[in-house]
Amino acid sequence: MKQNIKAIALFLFTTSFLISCSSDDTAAIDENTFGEAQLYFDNGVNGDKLILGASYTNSNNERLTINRLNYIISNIIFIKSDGTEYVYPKNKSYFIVSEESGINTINLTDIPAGDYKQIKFGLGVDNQRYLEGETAQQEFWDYATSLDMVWTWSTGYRFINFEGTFTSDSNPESINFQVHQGSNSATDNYREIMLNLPTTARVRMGDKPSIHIIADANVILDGINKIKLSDNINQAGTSAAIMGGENLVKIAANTQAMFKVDHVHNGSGTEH
Amino acid sequence: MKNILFRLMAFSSALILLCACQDDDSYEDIPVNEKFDFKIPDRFPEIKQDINSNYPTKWGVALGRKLFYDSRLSKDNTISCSFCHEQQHAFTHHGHDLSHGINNLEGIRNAPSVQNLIFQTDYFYDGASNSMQMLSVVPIHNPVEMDETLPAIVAKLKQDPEYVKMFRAAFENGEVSSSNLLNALAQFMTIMISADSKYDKYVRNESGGNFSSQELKGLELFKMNCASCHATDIFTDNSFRNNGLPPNLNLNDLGRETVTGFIEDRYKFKVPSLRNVELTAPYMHDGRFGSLQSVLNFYSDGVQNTQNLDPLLQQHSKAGIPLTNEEKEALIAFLKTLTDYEYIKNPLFYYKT
Amino acid sequence: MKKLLILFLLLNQTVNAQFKNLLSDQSSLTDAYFLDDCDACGCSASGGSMGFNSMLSEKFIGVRYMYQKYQSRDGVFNNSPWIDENFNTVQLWGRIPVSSKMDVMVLAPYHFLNREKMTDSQSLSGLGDITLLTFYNLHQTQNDTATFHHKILVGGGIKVPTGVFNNKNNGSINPSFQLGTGSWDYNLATEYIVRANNFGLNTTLSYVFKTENHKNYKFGNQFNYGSTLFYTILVDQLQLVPQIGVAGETYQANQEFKEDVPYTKGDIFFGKLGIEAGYRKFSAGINVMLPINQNLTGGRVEADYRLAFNINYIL
Repeated sequence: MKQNIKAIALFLFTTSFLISCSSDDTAAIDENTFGEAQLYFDNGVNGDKLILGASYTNSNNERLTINRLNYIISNIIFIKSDGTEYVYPKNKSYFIVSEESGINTINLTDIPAGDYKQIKFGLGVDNQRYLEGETAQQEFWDYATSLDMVWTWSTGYRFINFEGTFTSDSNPESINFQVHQGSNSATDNYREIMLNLPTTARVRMGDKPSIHIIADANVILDGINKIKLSDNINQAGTSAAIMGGENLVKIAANTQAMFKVDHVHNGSGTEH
Repeated sequence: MKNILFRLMAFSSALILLCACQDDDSYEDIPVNEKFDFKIPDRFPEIKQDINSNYPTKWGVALGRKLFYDSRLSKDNTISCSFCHEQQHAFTHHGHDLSHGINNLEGIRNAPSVQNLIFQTDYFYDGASNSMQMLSVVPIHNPVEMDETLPAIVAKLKQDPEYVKMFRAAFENGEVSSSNLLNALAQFMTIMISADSKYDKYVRNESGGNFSSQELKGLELFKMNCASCHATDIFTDNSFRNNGLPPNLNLNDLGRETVTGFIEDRYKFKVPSLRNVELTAPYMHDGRFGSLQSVLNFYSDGVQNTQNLDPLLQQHSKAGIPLTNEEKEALIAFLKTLTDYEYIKNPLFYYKT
Repeated sequence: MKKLLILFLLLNQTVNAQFKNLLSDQSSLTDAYFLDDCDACGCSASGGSMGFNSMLSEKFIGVRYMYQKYQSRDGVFNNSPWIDENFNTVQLWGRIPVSSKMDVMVLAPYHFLNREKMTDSQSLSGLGDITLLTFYNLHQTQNDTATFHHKILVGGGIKVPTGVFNNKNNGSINPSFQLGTGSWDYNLATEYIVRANNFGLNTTLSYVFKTENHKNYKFGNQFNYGSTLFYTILVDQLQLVPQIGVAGETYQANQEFKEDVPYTKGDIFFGKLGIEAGYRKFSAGINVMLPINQNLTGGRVEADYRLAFNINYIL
């Protein structure tokens, strides 16, 4: 009897903890407060990490050595599950990601506290913004110039600067390639891209979620449209350049699939 | 005695302090800026650029003019905009088929006229820019023209107190910056309107607008043969066309295709405005024709069916525009009525360097 | 005497299985690849899946040393480099009977963790999470002469968040590099042992309920299973018990703020091998576990092997 009581008491003691546990209730969001967020662009090629100077072969059977990958990210919008959007102020919403300069992180401030399930951003500079020619845009112009993100012989931005060398069945000797995506006065190649966040990005005062995005450089030429560098070699045979025409329209379609959110870190101090 | 001395010292030191305070340069008055008053001609087509975001102001225009004539905009401080765009030749490079820029490097194009820009949608023969505020970047960056960058120019201008003062007066943020520089140039080019030629006086029924019978005939011929491309009172329809010029293999200029990349744009060049054409020889994108006579000879006998030749030049059995000698002379007489002598002498567009 | 020894051996196997469950807590914790918090191998390290081997007595106090090797991907790409992670645990443990049918078990781990990142190396040491368990003997074959002897046990327990976890140990490397989970976890188990002659087969199932910690992180609930075949050899006062078996663990997805975290579901299947020796009041054992099949955190973490040594003093 005594032993049974002891046993029961012990059992009860042990299981009482089951009841006592409780988790914190999620605090209500104070919409009058603001927090920060970070977008981290992790550049890759077809599932592998992008390493400048390393080679890979794409499905066009061309072997590329990438030496430069820079692109413009702009007009960032945070979207909640009910569809309400927070549009990051346009005059500070233009950024450049540059692998060679080690610029992969976009830090955003003064975002209204909330739970965000999607983000949207533009790849390049929207035509309206470019034609507005506002003061802030010119400062971005200087910044873009320093990172080789402007056309040289006409006015306008390069949305993507993708360069390196390559070999193919047509050119067994390695020659340069240059892919400069952008708009010109004939075509507007600016596109918006919407991404789902696998877990909610919780922006709070003192919290800074970090959204880890993977960018796949391979889809620029090897996406839903296949663009062969060997089809774009100049007459002298010294290099391949893709800087205008229908190819840019195709690239704009390809790059819709260039980005994907891998994960979201929540909390503070979660920077890479 | 001591008391008076003390008071005198106190008073004089106060006076000195007062004067010293007033001598501070940073509190110098910034001249008041105001909107620039200019007239939009009634008969012109609608304005194609957004001038409200950068509306010309008194000091903005003054600054833009000074910059237009300033060779510090080039890398070695020798080439200004006015070097290739000379006022007395309606802002073209007199006698030069192709212009030379920095280090005597030669380009592949003829300097186009700077006039009536706000009524146009695209600039340069290949449409390298469609924005008034941005277009100055093109010659500034071109390595055979000015070979310079905006930040470098800004650094030079910041050393010049005159510029510092003018930038402060012209723009709200008062900064010597690339954006303000481009905007000042754009404001200056905005007010450069040419609309007082004999032709204009004729259509407005003003004195000085009496056309001779030859000029009238020329006008009629122009409307029939030329106005489909050189349309409206600015004498261009803002389009890009291939007018059948045989390509110069030395220059290999692909025209609009250079900018857009579309093969359908190969050998197409911007239809230029014919205003002041009497003053802007030589003619065409590469300045190959020295006279209006040779231009018209080309249209009657020289047009080649090159890739993307404009359909408007394929309306007859032979490509081009059939014209008799008499017709050509009448056309030339008419074209001379497009010269605006006030435009080329207007002190508003001149700056003595 | 023989009967008693066998009984103890079986009981040891039971606890062995229990510990295996708790150690498997560790591997579930490694699945938290991208998380702020510890899902850590090292955290609970009640660590028994390597084998508990106090075969001689159900009453003991002992010390066990466990080593676990993991590799995790430093990056999100297919060619991101693998980092070695070494988890060393020294554990004080004891098993105390409170009645003829009931035992209480305590496990108190102390961890030494280290790993080599691309840029620097990291190490952590400290107290881990303490575990308390209760077992109840539900049924046992009473007839000694029967060919097959059966025993069924049921039990439950809790793991207390006494180990520290640090928010700073996160990033793209396996953030299960922690001393504790920060949460209270609960465990239910059942064990079935059947023996005949000198052979025995021990089969254990357990389920771990995990709760949300104060960083709003909850590890996925976990199901463990295992079966060990053992054989007893008696030579004078020395006993030897070689053993061989399999064990497996499956994890549900972890949750952060009640949302499923991607890449945190997983499963792993081990083969295990070990031997124990006992002499008078002391016993010692060694046990090794090798993964046969695994799919942890979408392939971004791999378990290598687990090794354990222990020395016990019989009460």
